[in-house]
Amino acid sequence: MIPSEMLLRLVVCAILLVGAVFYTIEALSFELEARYVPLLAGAGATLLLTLVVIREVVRIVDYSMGERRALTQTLEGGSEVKISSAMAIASIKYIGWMLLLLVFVWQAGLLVAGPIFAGVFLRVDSRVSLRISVSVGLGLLGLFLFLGEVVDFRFP
Amino acid sequence: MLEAALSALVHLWSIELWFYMLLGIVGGLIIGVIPGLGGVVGMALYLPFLFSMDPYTGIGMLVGYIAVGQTSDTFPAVLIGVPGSAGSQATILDGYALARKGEAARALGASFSSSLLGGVFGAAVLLLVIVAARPFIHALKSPDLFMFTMLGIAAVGVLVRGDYLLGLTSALFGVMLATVGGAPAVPEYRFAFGELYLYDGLHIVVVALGLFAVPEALELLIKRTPISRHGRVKGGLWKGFKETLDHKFLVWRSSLLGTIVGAIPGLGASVVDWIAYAVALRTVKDSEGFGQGDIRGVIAPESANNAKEGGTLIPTLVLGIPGSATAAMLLGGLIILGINPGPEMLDQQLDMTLTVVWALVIANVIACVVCFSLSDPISRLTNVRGEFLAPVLIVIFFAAAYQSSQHLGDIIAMLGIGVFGYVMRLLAWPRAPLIIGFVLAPGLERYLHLSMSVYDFKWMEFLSVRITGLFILLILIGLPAARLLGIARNRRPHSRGSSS
Repeated sequence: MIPSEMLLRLVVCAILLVGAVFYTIEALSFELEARYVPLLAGAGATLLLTLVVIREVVRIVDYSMGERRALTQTLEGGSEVKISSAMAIASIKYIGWMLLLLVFVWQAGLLVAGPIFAGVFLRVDSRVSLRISVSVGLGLLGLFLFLGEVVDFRFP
Repeated sequence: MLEAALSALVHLWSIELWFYMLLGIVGGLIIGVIPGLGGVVGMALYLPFLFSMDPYTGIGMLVGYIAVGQTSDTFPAVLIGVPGSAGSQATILDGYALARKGEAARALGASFSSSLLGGVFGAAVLLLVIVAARPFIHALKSPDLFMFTMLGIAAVGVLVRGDYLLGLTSALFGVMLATVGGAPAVPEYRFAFGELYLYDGLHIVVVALGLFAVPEALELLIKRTPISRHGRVKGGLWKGFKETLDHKFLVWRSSLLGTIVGAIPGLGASVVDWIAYAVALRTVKDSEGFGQGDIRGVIAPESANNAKEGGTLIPTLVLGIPGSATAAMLLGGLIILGINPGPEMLDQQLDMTLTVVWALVIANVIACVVCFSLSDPISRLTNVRGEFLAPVLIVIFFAAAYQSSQHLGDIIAMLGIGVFGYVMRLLAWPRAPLIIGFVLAPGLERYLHLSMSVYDFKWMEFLSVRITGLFILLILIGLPAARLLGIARNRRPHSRGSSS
């Protein structure tokens, strides 16, 4: 079975390739002087990503034909990547927490949402005592008020 | 020149500037000490403060932060054997070995003092290069600057550690992100898709936070690194200091090496300490003890990685081409402060450029003093658990991102780029070229527009343009080819060996 990291790499490269192609086509619709750099960057990225996708496909074919070392070797002996399903689930969970904060900020504002989020997160996810999580929330509120006064920070 | 140097020095003597420089230094110390938080994350957090600052104060804070990052990252390297940043990896070999022998303070003392000397050396070289480069920079025309910017993008893409195809792609994606919004010189909005927020383009604060800060926070939460308890740092600091002075030639040699490597865009942080360590290993007498707690194994990489900061600032300040992610953010910060990167920095804005040099020297001295006097309490920060810090950091990232254009779109864009940055981190794709490409893109477009307006396509016939073009080709084709040949050669004896 093909390892998930290889598949993820291929999928991400393919998505980026589609994005680069779209970007390049879109760049063609601009006025001449506005299109030089986007076209240069888009065409370059499309070319490079095509090469990367071909390489990833070759690697997967190699792997399925028994060349298992392909997993850990990049073209110039690069990096080793290991992505477990637990890691993927945890990533999705924490990105979900961030989206939750975004919605909360949109509804209640960061001055309210931020400290409450930090306190609740510490209590629920990190299992910190209630006293510490409340203190952290209040500390964060204090920091925001200080920044608002001294450095003229604005909050949504 | 002398007038500008004195003017810069005068600007440094303000209470407000010193307050913010200290804020930068303290932040740099804290972020450097906590394992898992890189210097780039802190830099991204400092950028939003610049919106309401005057240029000199802003420069003081940013340079204060940059100067100490490579000093304080030694704490986790020596005490718990975890690098605080990429630049302190080689220090672990002998620093951690010394700590296990109960000589952590000696290693830290040597590290702080060699970092100070390296940092001052790097700043001195930076000053010399600025003086020497001024006449040359004045002679550059917009086509040359366009080609130099292209050279910077190519060099960063290819030389950065990891996969060069992805490095270059990453740099080009940075350029692509920067083209969102209004085009320079012509009234056209690109890739905005009718979204009002995108008409102004993406801000460097949002991109930097998304690309570096959000992925690091996610990593802190997911990895849940266990607490590494360590002994207290007591006594021996001055012994280390004396040993640095005893090995002054090693300090100067490593500092020179660090400055040179730092000046090459893309190469800097990740390799400078290893190169300095390897050179020290080969050039010093009686090197058998290296790797088992030889103090020279701490002095060499620490002098080099602090000197590197001065080296990295050479292309950043002289040509407006940042050589690392931190330098790219410094350049972004200078833009926020109203400074135009490029030749103007050595001309109309020379006093501000020299403020960077002075601030670098002063911040290195203050950092050394603070580290010597507060080494024990600072070292306790290595016990901070990432998962406790992450939620607070995430909320602060939200507040920081919002300062860019005070639109909820800032936070949404930061999260979107954050997820992309996390995938890049997960797949070990280089992220530094992306931020560098992003910072360089406006200059690239401006210089190209100027070249086309003044010379039409004739600028391509300039001799200087052709020479730089040749360099770019050499970097894009020659270096990867040489690397591939090297790999092929290395594989041959291995396969023969395994078959026999």
